[in-house]
Amino acid sequence: MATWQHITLWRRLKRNRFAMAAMVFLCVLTTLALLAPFIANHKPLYAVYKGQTFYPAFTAKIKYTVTDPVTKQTEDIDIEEADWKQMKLESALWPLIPYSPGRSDLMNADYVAPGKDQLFRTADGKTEPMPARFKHLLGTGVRGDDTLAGLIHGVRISLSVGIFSMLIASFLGILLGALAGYFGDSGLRTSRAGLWGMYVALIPAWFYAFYVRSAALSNALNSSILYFALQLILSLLIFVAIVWLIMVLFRYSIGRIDFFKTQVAIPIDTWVTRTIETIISIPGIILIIAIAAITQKLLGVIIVVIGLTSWTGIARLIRAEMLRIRELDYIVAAQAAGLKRVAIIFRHALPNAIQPALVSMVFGVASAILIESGLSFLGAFQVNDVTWGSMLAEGRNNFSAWWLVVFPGLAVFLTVTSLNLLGEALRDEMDVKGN
Amino acid sequence: MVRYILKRLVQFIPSLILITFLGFLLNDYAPVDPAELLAMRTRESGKPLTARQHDNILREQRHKLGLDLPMFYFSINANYECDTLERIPNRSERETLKKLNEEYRNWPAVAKYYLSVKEAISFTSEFSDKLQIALSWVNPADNYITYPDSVSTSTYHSYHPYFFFHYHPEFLPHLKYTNEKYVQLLGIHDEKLIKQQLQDISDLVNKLPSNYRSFYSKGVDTSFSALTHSASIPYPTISFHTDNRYHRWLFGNGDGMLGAIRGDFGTSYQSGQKVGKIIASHIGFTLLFSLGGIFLAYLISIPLGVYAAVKKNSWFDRVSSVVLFLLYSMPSFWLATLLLMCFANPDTLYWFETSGIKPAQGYPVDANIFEKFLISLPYIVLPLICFTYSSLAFLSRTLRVSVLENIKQDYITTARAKGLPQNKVVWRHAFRNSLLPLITVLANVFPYAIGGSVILETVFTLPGMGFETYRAILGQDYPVIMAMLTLTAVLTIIGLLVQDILYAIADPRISYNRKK
Repeated sequence: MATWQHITLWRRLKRNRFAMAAMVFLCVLTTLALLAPFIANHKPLYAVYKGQTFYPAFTAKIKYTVTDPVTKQTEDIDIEEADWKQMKLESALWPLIPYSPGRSDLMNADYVAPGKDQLFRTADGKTEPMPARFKHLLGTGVRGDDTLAGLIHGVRISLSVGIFSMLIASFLGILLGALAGYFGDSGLRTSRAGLWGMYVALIPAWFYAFYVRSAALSNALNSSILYFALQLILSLLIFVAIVWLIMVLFRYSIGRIDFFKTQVAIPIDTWVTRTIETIISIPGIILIIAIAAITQKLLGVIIVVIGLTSWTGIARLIRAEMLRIRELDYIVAAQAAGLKRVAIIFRHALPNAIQPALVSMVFGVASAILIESGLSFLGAFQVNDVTWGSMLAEGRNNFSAWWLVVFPGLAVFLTVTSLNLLGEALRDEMDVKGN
Repeated sequence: MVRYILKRLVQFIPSLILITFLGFLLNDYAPVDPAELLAMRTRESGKPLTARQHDNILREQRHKLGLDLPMFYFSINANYECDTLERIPNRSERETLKKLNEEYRNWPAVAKYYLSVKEAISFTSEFSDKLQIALSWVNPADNYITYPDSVSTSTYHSYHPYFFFHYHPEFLPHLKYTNEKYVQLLGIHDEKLIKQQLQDISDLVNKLPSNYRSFYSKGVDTSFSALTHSASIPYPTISFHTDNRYHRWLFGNGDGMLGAIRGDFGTSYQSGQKVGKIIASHIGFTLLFSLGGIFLAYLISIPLGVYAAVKKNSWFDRVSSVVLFLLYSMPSFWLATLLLMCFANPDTLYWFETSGIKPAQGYPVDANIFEKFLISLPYIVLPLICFTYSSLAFLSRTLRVSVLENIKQDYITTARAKGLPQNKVVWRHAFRNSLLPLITVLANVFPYAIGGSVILETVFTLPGMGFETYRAILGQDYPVIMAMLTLTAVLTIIGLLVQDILYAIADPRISYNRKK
């Protein structure tokens, strides 16, 4: 939805050189994150071996059998585990960085500095100085794992934690903030029967949506995050359906008695503000470390927990804006015209309330990235993949490997800085009052 | 005002209950059962335990910790569920049963199956133990029983049935293996795997001569097949528990522990110390660094922010803005690592110490407090820098914006017009009205003290609350974790209240006595 407001905002933002630089940097990072397996990979993009053509970096199949055209000997190739650099390839196209993160290169193990001489073993088994094409540009770690490859793949984890957790937080924050702000404590009314029905419905709804399905949900979490999201949405749908069903039941049964017929307000604002207060009094980092200790190494869980604990800021902003907007003439006009409340909130009021939250979301991505890298630096949760934090932790254990301290830290710093720059620019251009 | 504070405190009670409940949930899902952890730590090493002894120790330990009680005042369970699952001492068995029950939704049948497996285990293990002893009395050369003098006749007679099997030493490994297979069965909840396991057992038994199969009963097989045809329709049931873990945690267990409400959070699993003692001995360092850091931050940021605002667009303003912005985005753990690498590293500059708060051998005996401070200085400087810089950057930036906003106001123009000196205009008028954002930061100091210092205290290995909490989490020391969660929550609400009060003091327009 590109309204006039958004276009002018974009034009004004374009004049801010720092913001544009930050934006370009973030775009580069996103591209790196998306294409990481094709930019840094120990497998070539294209290779010809004994007359047979492979596209190892793009291949999902693992085992291949190759027959030597001269000796007629067959050889099994494991695409993933084969050491492609030491095979006699007839021709090959290597990725920009011919290394994968966390894969050892024993010739250059035990921390080789970026400028130092590196060694290379050729297909004939001879040891040579490293050819320029295969140099570890930013040095290696303890097992000879390439720093630059780790950095490039680390973008994926950092950005996905930042973006996905903020998606969860924005969804919750916008929804709850909008409802609380628009309805307040007295805007949403229902019959007493309906309200009581809702209270009663919470237990069976929770029971059938989450408790009975807990096995399915936990299995889904173990298989993939997308499947888990699907199951979660299913659970939420069941929840809503049961609450609605029981409310209707109550309304048409005891709702006929006068006492239950009276209209009462649903104190939605009180609920939301109390929840916000509860969540900000939970020490987020302690909670995340504790949950990480329980769930071992599930990145998805970390994302969900960060999302569930960081929606409060967005909700407060949206709520405050909604409180202001609901008094404006055009909303009153819409109400008078008899528009549906859902339409008023989400089509008319929310688009005008969302801008200040946008700033908060950008800052939120930055802080989620900081939390993730800080925790993986502590070793509080070990993802199988190499992260910026885990590389930095390796550097912290061995200060002579300064490149493991400087570069991953710099990556976090630059990402956070550019997100903050973007957020500041957005805030200045939209003239939102800080904090 | 007092009424407002009371109201807020009352409102906070449900939140506090929720947060502590969360702690209990974490406790329940811990990767290793605390009772097993404690049993492991307290057990005499070297002595192998039988399954039954192990269970008894666990049961005792769980009883001591109160883990055999339900968690909260009420629980919502499914109709097919067992509400006294907590009484089963072994965690993996508990989980297997829970999963089996989720699958088949029929607790009586699951319980029957569990008991039959248990019976098979104890039967086979007893059988193999006795057989082993009985076999030791048999002389393999002539199959003649030579039982030792120490064994009385009645004992001998109680072993008599086992001589029925003499002399077949190969029977013993079979029996032990069967026993193992039954034990494994307690950790399996997948239908296919269970069937496979039962098949294996019966194959094993079938290899034996027919008169040796007496120990093998069909009990497990039949109870398992009874399981598979019995799903019921689930519905929720609520049960209430007057004696529960939460109640005991809150009000004490009547046996040494006074309960959280009287400030007693129990005993640490790791060190066996009272949690209160642990907190008391660590909170000093955390407060030292948090308060010291925030004090330094205020000290530097107030003149910095105000000066930058007054001299807007001067070179000082520009440079300080950029530097503060960069500092603001600086990850604290990176700065800490960089500082350690540069200034506490024998290869570069070794000005400061890398970890701890004082030398390993402690202070000299006759050192006074000033000397102690001087000795500790190399340990303190780097952490203090890290604790200061981020709030410094935040404070100066907010203060600058806030003063800038106020300086544009009419009352400043008025103050200038009536000939007030610049100093007075800035400090008495503009600065005082820019105080609000500074209060927000101050209110966050206390709750932030624990959670926020985890990373920095771990990097510098400072013996503060953050590091202690981190250690507690890694060691699954739940009494400590619960105490930290509660403490942080209480500090947060105190911080919020202090913030409200300070707002009212700083800005007389804010009042909490308004009526609707």
